[in-house]
Amino acid sequence: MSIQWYLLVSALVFCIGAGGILVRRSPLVILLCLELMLNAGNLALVAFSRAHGNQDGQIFAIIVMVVAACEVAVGLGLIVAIYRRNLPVDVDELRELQG
Amino acid sequence: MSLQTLGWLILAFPLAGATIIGLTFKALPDKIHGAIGTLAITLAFVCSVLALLKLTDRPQDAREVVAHGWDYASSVGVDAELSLLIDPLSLMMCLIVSGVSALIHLYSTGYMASDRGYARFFAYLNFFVFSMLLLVLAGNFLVLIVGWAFVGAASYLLISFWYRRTTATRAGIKAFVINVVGDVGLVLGTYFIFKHTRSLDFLTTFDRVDDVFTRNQADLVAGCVLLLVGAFAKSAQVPFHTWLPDAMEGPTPVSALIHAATMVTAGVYLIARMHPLYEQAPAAADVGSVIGCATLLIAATIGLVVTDLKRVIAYSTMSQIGYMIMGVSSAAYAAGMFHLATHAFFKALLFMAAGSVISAMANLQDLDRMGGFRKALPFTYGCFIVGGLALAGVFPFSGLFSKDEILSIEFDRGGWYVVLGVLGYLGAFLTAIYTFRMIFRAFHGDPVPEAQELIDGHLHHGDPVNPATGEPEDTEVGFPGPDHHIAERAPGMKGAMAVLAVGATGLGALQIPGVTDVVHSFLEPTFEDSSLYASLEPSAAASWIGLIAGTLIGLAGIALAYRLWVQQPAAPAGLQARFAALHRFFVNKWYFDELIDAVIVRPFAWFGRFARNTFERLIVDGAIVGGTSSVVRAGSAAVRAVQSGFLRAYAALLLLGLAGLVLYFLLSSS
Amino acid sequence: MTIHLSILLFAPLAFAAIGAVLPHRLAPVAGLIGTLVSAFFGIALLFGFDASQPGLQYVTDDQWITALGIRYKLGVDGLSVWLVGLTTVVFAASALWILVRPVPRARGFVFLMAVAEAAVLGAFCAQDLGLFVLCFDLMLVPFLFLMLGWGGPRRRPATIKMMVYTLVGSLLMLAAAVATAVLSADDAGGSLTFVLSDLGKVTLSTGTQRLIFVAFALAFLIKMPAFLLQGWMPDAYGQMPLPALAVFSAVLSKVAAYGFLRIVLPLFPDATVDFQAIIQILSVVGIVYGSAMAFTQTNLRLILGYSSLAQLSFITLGIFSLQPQGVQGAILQAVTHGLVVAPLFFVVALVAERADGSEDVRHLGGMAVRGPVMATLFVVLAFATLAIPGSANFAGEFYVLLGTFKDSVALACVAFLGVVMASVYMLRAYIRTVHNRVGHEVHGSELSLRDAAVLVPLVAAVLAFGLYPQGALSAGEQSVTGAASTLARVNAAGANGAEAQVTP
Repeated sequence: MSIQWYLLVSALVFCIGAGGILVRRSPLVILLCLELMLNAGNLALVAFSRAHGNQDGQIFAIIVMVVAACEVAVGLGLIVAIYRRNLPVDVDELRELQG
Repeated sequence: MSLQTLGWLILAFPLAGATIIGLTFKALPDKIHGAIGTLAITLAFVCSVLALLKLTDRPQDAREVVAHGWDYASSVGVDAELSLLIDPLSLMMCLIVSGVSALIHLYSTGYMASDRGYARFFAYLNFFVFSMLLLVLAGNFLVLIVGWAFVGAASYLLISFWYRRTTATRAGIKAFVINVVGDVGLVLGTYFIFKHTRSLDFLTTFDRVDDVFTRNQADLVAGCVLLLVGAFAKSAQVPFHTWLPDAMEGPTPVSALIHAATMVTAGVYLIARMHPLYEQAPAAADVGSVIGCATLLIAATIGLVVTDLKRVIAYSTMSQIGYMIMGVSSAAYAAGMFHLATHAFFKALLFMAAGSVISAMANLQDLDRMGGFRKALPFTYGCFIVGGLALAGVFPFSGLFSKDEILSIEFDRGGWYVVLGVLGYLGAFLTAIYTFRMIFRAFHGDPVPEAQELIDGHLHHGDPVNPATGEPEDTEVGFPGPDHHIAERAPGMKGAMAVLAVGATGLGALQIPGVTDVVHSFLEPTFEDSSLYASLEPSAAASWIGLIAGTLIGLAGIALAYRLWVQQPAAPAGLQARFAALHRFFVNKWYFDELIDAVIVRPFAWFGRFARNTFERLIVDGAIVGGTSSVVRAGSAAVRAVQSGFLRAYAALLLLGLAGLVLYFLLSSS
Repeated sequence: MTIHLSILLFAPLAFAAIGAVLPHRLAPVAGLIGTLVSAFFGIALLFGFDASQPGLQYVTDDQWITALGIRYKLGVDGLSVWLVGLTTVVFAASALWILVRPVPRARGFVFLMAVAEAAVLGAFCAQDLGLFVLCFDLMLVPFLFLMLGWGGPRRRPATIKMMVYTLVGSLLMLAAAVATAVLSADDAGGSLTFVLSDLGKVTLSTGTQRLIFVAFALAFLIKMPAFLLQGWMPDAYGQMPLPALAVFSAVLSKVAAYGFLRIVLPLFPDATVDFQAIIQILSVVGIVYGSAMAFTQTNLRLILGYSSLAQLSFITLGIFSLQPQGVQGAILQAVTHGLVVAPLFFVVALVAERADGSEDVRHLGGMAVRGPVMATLFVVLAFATLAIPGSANFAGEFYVLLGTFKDSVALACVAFLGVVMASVYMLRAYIRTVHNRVGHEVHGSELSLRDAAVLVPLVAAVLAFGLYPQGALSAGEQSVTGAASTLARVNAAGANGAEAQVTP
């Protein structure tokens, strides 16, 4: 099977994730969308790795998964913290970092 | 002891005196400080005398001795070691400086007895004498400059000795700054000469002058004129003279020491010392002659109208130094130096006598307030008369011989120097008038209350006021205390004045035309390289004619003064009214202060204000700092606008950037 | 190869590190011991220095960052040996001052001062461009923190201003240093090196030299500060704590002047000759401008600040006369100015203490009445600052101006204005502080013994130096003649080239 198909799927998933981040306001959903984007990247990495015949891409994919797991942990922790402090669970309201 | 050792000892004693007094000013009682100070200077004088004996033992052609100390600042082609030059000229100055200074120290032990700053005063005085001796003994330009500046610093310290008077501190800073201008002239002049001779050492320089410079070469003339600036600033010659009258803020012994006998004559010494340069640059020497002549006349005219006792003497000092400068600039070296010596005696005497009157007046110096002190202060009166006659140039007092020697050499030189000689006699006439105007106004007429009290046997104690402004004085520092001395009752003061009076009377005997020739022949070794020195020797007959003319002119001036201020006391007021414009011109000192203020002080003050208020604010703070910071601010404002805090806006930017990047790679790969 | 200079460098730092774990009360003691060790070695250096030898002495040379060709190479020669001595002495005096008048949170203060000393000494001893740049940038950092932590009421804006200014200079210098090394390596075809003696063997093209010269000159002139680049100076001088300001003014500005001698003149001779006139004019204007500003100021710190601007301009003027006398004078002037200005700042501290903290001459006056010893020390320092002949400062100025005079009579004459003006502003400051009537808020008292312990040795050093400036001049002679002869060659080559172009 040609690599194009893998890449097409990867691009599609990435765009879905990106679109989700842009339109949704709940941090939980944004996290989910981020995961989508990361996994799109993973897909592309594995596909390339396979196509080129070396294992570097797969190792990268594993690293990305680890990072993703960490990110989810931190992200969920933040969401819980926001919830506990009775702050709005809405990224548009959380803008204290405005310059 | 060798001459070199004596040379160092002459310097060492005053310095040691100053140091000891300075370090023990709290530990020892005041009286001892006065004794230490006087002793130190006396020892320096003794060493000078010993050195004189040693020097005269040597043959004529071996009377220039150099004492090498250590390398002071020699490097990369500059030979600046600490060296002294002991020759007849410097030794003569040493004798005058240490001798007169010793007497003035003695006088000060009485005069300053009740001053709180007694120890400080003697430390300063000793330091001053050290500096002055360093100046005259210097063996190269750098040491000369050091002595030159130290003298200025000591003079500053002494002028503003009563430092809580604003007038005194102002006079001090004025004197110092004008002296620094002189220092700068001296340093720049040295550069011009060093550029060609490549040596700072005096004897080497003088040896090379004729080889490296052609006659009146531009660099040499520039150098010599700049040295003259130094001389003028220190010797209070026009237009650098304005500090001297103001310097009368200092205690009277200071005026006697610095502003009459020693420091102000440094310019004369400088020109005499540099005579090989000036003979190769006659144009520069002529500048000196003309300025000297101008100063002697200008100062004499101001002296006619000033009403402050000390300032009259100050202007007379300026005028007499004008004679000396005129003399040494026109190659009358020995005559100029001789006048320096006699002047040191009679002018110090006059200042001391004035100090006696001033202390009797409880520190008032205004001639208008004085009168009738003849009976109250007979000894002072005698001293004033002796000093006055010497100053006015009446036979047989010393001033006549020295001044007329200068003038007769001017006549002997011929050409336009004759004009200088004639103007010199005019100056002598004015001198006689203002000197005896001062004496008659202070001592003749009805006794003022202070004088009356003295006649009755007590000493007047007024409330202390500042003589310059009349404002009440801060009594914690300053003069006079409750038990001040006057000359008549303090043996030290009286003794010092008596010695000076003898000198002022008799010193003329050293140089009686046709009879004695002590000064001239003593100085011969220093000036043997001068072509003019030996040739300019007026005949005894011509000199005697000059002496007689001088005496007659002096007596005429005294007679006029007697007529105006004793016989017809109303006449001066009438004259003032008739020549009101001229009088105002003289009273305002020819507007030199105003001129300097307008030409130099104001522009600089304006520049300072401009720098501070405009330049610093607009350019440095505005354009550079402000410009930089507004660029930074504008940049940060732009960046700040992006930081909206909307998470999704950031994400959009991120994705946009990514899309841009992808697009770029796609386009560039195809 | 000796370890001498490394001890000099790291002794203060080591002792301050010990001090950082001691209680606040004891930290200054540790700091003082460290600076004293360093001062001892510094003075031993002066005596052990062989003035007859032109090259580097006490060299330490070791691998450091091999990949970049940066070596840990230290050494002193006639240009730096007296500056090293000055640095150790001034820092020791400052450490003693901190000991006798405790500062709050002393541990931090002492440690920062030690970092500063190590950095300054490093800059003076560095014989590697990379090391020099590092030390030059590092020495500023402690002062930023000192100002921020212990400064006056308006310390924040002052710190930011100083940081921005000097950061710009530092970045320019970093870029220029990297460019010098990389381009030299390119030209020579060898491996990358930052060692100065190696860089000196390569002559870059004139165009490159000019660009790099500008970057270095800006960095140095900002740090001095020179005319037009002094924007940070009034605020920083106004706000910095006095013990820090004393060393800052005495030593840090000299590093910049020294940088010209060590880096710019030997590495970029052609550009130096090209830019000579501009820097000279800038210096002369700086002299007049600084002096004029100094006598319009009423705050004692700022009077000293602007006076330093003028004095530093004398130093650059001497360096850029490109005459041996001028360079010789510049070195001497750098040492003597440092030695005089540090105690003057201590005097300012004493004065302020006696006038309810006011440093404004309008509120002062009459302090000599109760404090004659203090007044005497002050007058000695004031006279030395205005370079009265007989002080070592004068010997320096004499040489600087002689060099300038040989190069250009007109510039020397204008520079002499600064000499006259110096006497006006220094005496004005002196008179209005200790003379005249006693100010309303002045409660005079004499110098205490502990203050005298700091001031008297420094003043004695000033006096001794005035009596014998020869030592510093002799030490510098060989190096200066070496440096100046290179420039003379370039000068002559330039002149010949110009003639060659004109003649046909």
